[in-house]
Amino acid sequence: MTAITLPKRLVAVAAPKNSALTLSSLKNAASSIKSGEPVSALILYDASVAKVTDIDRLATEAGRIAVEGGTLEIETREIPVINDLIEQGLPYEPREGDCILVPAMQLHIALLLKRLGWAVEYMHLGTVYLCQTEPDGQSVEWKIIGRNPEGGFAVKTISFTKPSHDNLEWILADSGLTYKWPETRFVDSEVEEFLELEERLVDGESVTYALLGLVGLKPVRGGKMGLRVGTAFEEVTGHCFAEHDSIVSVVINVEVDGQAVIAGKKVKREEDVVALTKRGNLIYASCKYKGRSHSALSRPQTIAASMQKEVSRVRSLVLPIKFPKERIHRMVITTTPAVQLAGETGEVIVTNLAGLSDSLKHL
Amino acid sequence: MMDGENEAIVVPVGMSPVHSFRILKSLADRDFGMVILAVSDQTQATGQAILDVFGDGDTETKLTRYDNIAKLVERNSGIEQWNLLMGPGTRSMAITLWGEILNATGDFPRIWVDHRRKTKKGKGKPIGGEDIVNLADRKERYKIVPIGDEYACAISGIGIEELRETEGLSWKPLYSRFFYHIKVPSDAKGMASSAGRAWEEEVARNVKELRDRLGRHALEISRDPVPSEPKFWLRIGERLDDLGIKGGSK
Repeated sequence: MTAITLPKRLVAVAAPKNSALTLSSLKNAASSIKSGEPVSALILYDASVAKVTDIDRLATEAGRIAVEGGTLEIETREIPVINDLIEQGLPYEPREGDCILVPAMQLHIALLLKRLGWAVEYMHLGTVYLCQTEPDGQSVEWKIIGRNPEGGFAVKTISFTKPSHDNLEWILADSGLTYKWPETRFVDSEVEEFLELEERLVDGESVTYALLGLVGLKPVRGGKMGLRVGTAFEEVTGHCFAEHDSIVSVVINVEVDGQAVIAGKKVKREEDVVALTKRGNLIYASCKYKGRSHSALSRPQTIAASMQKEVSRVRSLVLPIKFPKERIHRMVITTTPAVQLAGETGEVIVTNLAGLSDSLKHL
Repeated sequence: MMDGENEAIVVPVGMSPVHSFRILKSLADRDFGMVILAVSDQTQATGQAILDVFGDGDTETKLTRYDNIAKLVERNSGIEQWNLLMGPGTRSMAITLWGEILNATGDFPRIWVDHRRKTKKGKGKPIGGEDIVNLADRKERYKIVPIGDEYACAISGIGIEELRETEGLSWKPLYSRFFYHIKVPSDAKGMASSAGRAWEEEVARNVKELRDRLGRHALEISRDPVPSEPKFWLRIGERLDDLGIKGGSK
């Protein structure tokens, strides 16, 4: 290949309700460029994408992505919708050093490659690039396209792995979900003590009182106790996720609009924990505080049935999040007696809080 | 019409192989000298099924792994123009094929696309038909032809009897897709939540199996609305919606 120009401009096509894909692709590519020169990005989008994706917010977030010597300079440009793309064409003029971030839709890929090929051949561009992040989020492939000194054109491929550049806020941004960040008020040594106690005691309410004490809540009488204990367990679980070395970020009390209408109001569905790991995996975790009022000994079959029902629910759980399904892992975080009674759980990881750390190491 | 005798076209085979077959049938009048099906590990068998159903005609047909295309190009130096269809298969297949053909020939392959004009919702009916378009000369287009259930079944590995005997499953030539409609049990309102849940799990299992066998894009799924009483049916409806099995509630 003749003299190479380093990448100067990244070209991305925004996908509907998936700002995270555009942003992580931009970040993946930008983090590989070590030219020291300014790098810009052109984000193409069509009207149907703009209806369901906040393009200004996407551009603002993209403009925060660091490159050597600063941040990305962003330009956005509207392109025809899919129905009109063949007739109206793609308003994109390739430049020397352009790098196409391989978009999700093959029609866009085809039109961009057609423009690139034409520009290299007839506008005599020296070097242009393709950059593709594989679905695992860590493998990146660059293709360098230019003239072959021996005649004609050539493409050189470079593949490597990088740490994931996914970001939980980006992933959740277009989902319509509401959520909370875990609080950081816990003292680690006290949490450790509770985890040991919970694992050691087979049954009994002392664990429940210890949990409430850890979170700073008082026991109440009646049906409200279960709700209070459940909330406390979710908070401690959120803290354990947040403190783990494998976790980049975690949110709790994740709410999604449901279909069910009760008393004229749409009832929200709630999931307990969504977490992103450093390896780029997403975890959906449900918290179940079970079998701590002597029920593990007196009614083990009830606990077992309840756990099987929850495992089955979590196994088929789908949230309105656009993320490669191969990288979504599912967990049920529960009490030690409930883990022992859970039975066959398949690919759903069922663990107590003491075992959570080991489970997360592999994700 | 162009003379395609010294031309070859590469058509990838993805997880909805019937579509690749329709493209092959639709390009029959284009008279390419050679048609190559590019397959992956997962689509090797369906690629072979496409060629078996396509039969022996005037066009030379070949099957190759997509990441081995360069060797096939080098062995066929008599081909003057390489064409690549983009649409079926994964993005990786498309990019790899494009790059390997470029390296083997020193020239950019001519790109073709399959293009469907759809209703505004995007998942609706094709409103202007489906065309194969040559991006080097956009006036050169070929209508993508509908095919019958006997071809669809042979390629998808499902017996025609099985298609006809599976309740709710049908092939619609106009859409070139399988359709699977799920009926809610007639006694749904009187069912216990555990029975409702068991029904839901069976539906999810059947749909997954059909999607795996027939290809996600080759299968349209619908369902009856679930009842709004007892309330657990609304949750079941939501979870089915999450799985892309839409149908609302009544």
